Amino acid sequence: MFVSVCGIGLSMLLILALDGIFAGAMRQVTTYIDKSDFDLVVSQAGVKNLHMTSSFIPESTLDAAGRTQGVAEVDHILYSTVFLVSENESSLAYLIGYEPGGRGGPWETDGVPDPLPRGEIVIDEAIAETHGLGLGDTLTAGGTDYSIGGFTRGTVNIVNSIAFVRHDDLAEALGVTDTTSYGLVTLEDDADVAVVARKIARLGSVTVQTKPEFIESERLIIADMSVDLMRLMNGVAFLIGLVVVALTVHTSTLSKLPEFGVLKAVGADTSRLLAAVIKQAYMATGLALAFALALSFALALGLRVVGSDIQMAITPLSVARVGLASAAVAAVASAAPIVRISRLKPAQVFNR
Amino acid sequence: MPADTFMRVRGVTKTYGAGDLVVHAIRGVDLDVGAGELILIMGPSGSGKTTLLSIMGALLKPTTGEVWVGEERISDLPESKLPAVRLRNLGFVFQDYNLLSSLTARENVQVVMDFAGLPGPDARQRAGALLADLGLGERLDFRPRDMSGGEKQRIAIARALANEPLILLCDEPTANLDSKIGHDIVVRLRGIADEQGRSVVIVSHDERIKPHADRVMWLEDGVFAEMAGMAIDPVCGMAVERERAPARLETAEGTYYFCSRGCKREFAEERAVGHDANV
Repeated sequence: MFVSVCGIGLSMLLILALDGIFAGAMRQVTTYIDKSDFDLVVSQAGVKNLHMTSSFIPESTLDAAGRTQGVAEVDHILYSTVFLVSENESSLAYLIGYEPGGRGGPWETDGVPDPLPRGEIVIDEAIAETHGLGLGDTLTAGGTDYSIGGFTRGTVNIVNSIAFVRHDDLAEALGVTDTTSYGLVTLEDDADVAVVARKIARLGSVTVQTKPEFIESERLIIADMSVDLMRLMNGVAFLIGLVVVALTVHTSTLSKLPEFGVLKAVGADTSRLLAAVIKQAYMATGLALAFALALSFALALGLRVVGSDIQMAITPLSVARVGLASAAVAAVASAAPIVRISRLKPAQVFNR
Repeated sequence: MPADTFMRVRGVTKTYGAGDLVVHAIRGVDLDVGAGELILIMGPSGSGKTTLLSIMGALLKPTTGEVWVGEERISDLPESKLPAVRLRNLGFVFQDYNLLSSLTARENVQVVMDFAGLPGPDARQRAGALLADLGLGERLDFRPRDMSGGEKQRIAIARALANEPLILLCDEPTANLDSKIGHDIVVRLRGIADEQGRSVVIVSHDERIKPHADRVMWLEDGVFAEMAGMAIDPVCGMAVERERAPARLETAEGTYYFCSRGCKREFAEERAVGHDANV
């Protein structure tokens, strides 16, 4: 039983871990939007996400949005996808230009001056480690040299990381004036989100989304562009996991065949034996799920403790999916031994 | 059937195969098993002992003949009714104990009571009491892997007694035990027959059981033979027919009969060593 539970549990761990990494990755790709405090986002008409897009809207439009009834504040951010280049490394990043003192800037910063001085950049400490850079070192972002002014945490995901500079620095680097990429709109306490969104949209040539809509758009584009491979790997792992569950249940039931023969000899009828087989399969599967969950949470915690870029998110949906699929597979895997058990000749116990 | 006869076997045959390959394992056996009686069935390997025990235990259907347990002719019952007959009337003790490895001593006994519908707490209490009677009161929660052969066989006896059967059917119950523990097991089986009035049928090669048996039956080629014509191989302890013994040795003190030439050679060598030592 112990060996069966371990075998089934480890195959469940494979499924849960890959599911968790997938879910964690999907959470990570929206970290910037999650961490930024706003109610609505205003972008160029037709632009619904950050990843692999460019959005340019006149600052005057955002100023008009700021005067809309129910709006408390609009923070302007400029955005560009760039390569962070150092002497030895190059890595993809979202470069955010934020207004000093405004929303949309870095979080979990350590010693970053506010306002950030001109010509300085804030990067993720994991990226700094990869590049072998420290405070004050020079890093090129989108062709412009910046001095590292501080570090942030938790911005690295499967696609890129996030770096921050001043809005005016990025505007200069991009060669734009009186133009920004997104407006992060904060509403007054009693304002109706939908009503304000409609009013801003009427300003023309803009797309207005709530924060949850923006997050969903970002997840969808990332999923469409780069996560298909992960989904495929996840699917293969899921199938392999279930096959291992099935084989383990099947083998462990067959290994008990002589004991079922003994039970039959001492007076158990076939229906009792079948109930025992199913009960044994479900007990093993249930214990294995608990074992796999414990290992998965330990693994997720371990990744966090060692500061890995990979995050694991064990979701109730994933646990339910693994539990139900394993239960179904365990029932099917018990079916073949059940036929053999029902045909067992009890007299065989004397001939063992 | 007399009230004190728990089992009656009449004209039972068992044939395997067909045509030129037919094997007659049992060729017309009659046997009455009385209340409180301990019957020892002996015979060479392949003589049909285990087949007969399986038929008596409702584990195997005879080809012809009848088996009665009390007033019920079990040889005619359909397969689906036999588990209940076994559960109610028969207890089994096997050579290899056949305990469930994942269950404790108590659970091994309790499981048979559960099958019979005894409520859990009652079954648990009764299983504990049965094991305590057999000297295992301190070992109730041990698993078979942590117990000696003698202890395992006592659990098997407790399991066989769990539903208060009329008859205990034992297949080589002492084969895997040393002589002291084997003797202890036989004494317990004798006590069960004497004190509880149950019948005990033992199939065995073990000569040491003979003094404890009320009757010793010799089964050879599927039929009971007279014990009068039997002799004991002094080396391996097997009973052999005097007339058909594979080897014999005439000595000053009498004739010895052996089951094989190997036993005869071993016996002769030991005698020679003993003689040299005395000189």
